[in-house]
Amino acid sequence: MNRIITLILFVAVTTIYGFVGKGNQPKEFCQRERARATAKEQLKPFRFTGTKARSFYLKDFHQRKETVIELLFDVPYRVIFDRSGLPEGQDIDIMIYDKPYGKRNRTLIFKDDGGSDKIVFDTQEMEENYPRLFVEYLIYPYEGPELDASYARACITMSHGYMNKRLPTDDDL
Amino acid sequence: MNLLKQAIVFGIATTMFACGESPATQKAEKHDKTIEEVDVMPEIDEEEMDVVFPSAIEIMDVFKSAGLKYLDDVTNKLDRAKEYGSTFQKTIGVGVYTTDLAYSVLNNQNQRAIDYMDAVTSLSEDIGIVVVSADDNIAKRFEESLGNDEAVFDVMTEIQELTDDYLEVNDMGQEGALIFSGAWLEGMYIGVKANDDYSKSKVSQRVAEQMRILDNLLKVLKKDENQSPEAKEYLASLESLNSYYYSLDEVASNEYGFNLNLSVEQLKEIAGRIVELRNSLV
Repeated sequence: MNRIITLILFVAVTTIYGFVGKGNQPKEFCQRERARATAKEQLKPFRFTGTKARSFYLKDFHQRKETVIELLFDVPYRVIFDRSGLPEGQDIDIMIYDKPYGKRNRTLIFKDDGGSDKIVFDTQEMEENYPRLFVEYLIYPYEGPELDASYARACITMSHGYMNKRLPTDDDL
Repeated sequence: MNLLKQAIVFGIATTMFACGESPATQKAEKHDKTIEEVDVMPEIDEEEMDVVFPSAIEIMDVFKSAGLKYLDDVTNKLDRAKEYGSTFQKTIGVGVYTTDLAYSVLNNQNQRAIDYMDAVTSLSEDIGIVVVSADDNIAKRFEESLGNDEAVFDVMTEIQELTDDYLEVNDMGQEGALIFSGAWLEGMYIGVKANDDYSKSKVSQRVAEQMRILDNLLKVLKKDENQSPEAKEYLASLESLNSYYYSLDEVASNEYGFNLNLSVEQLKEIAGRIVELRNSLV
């Protein structure tokens, strides 16, 4: 009798595990903590203020995401993008504009369509001051093996820091 | 024995079946995807807007560099924390006290900083954000770091990050926006009150420039469709402040809002509205 109860329990547990357990968890490529740790070092001498992960599910079509960064006037910022949370074969272009997506006459301030894992952008490189930056991610269709998984998630991370003193410009030197 | 074998086979089979969808289901989904999700360049949904706001310590740090003085009685009184009854009041209170904490830290008011940290921790827990008390080490490191600018900034940034992570994991983005709004408003209030002449000094200029943040903040706050009457009233007051700011010709005609040439009267009007709104909250 005990054996039958044990068998019933075994079947029930394996069945329930199969339905609600590992099988329904997304496959996660995002490496936010690692990106944050390396960015903290790379941001120096800027003061690290945070890391924002833009997560998305792998799809076989284009996706577009936007993140707005509010800036304080006359404060130099450094922004570090990290593509290491992407599976092989997933491409993302990073663009920074002065206005949101869809606005006319917006200015492209920065673009990176290369494959480097780490991209560093300093606001000191901008020709003009802007109160906010519109970071646009163009996520290309993914056609790798992970699409066959029930669902898989990746992310691009953006770490940022500021320096509370004006950095010297070419005019000062 | 046969029963045992059958049970094991059944268990494994059901597990495998549940782990992956049946080929028929997968095929059907893939087919639907090709019909519905044609590969055109997608639009950006404004509902998905993700905004990175400056932290309380960043705002106060910049104000301090612009010449903001330290005044003992300008921050929110600590005993008011006990009077905050509703979740809305407590959430705003977390933001307000976070800025008071930053202001105290930046001006080496160590005991005050410890007291404000306690207020932030206590109110945060009341609204379900358990970060500082989850790790005794953080509170200890915070106290030990006081007086060392770099160290205290690191601990405060770590707390901010843990809080952001907690809000994200627990789907509390709206609470995060409300907290930031309280922090922003308190920062503006201190910027006004500790700048006694409301003149065209650098601090007044910074206050006027930081009004720009309100526009995006409102967009994020308005995403919450289930606001309490208190929150609705607060949003209406913020809207009114924002509308006044953008009604000024100098602001409307200045694309990026830098080097605004506002008159002393206009600066005073903005300052008065900020003071009124902040005092009605705390």
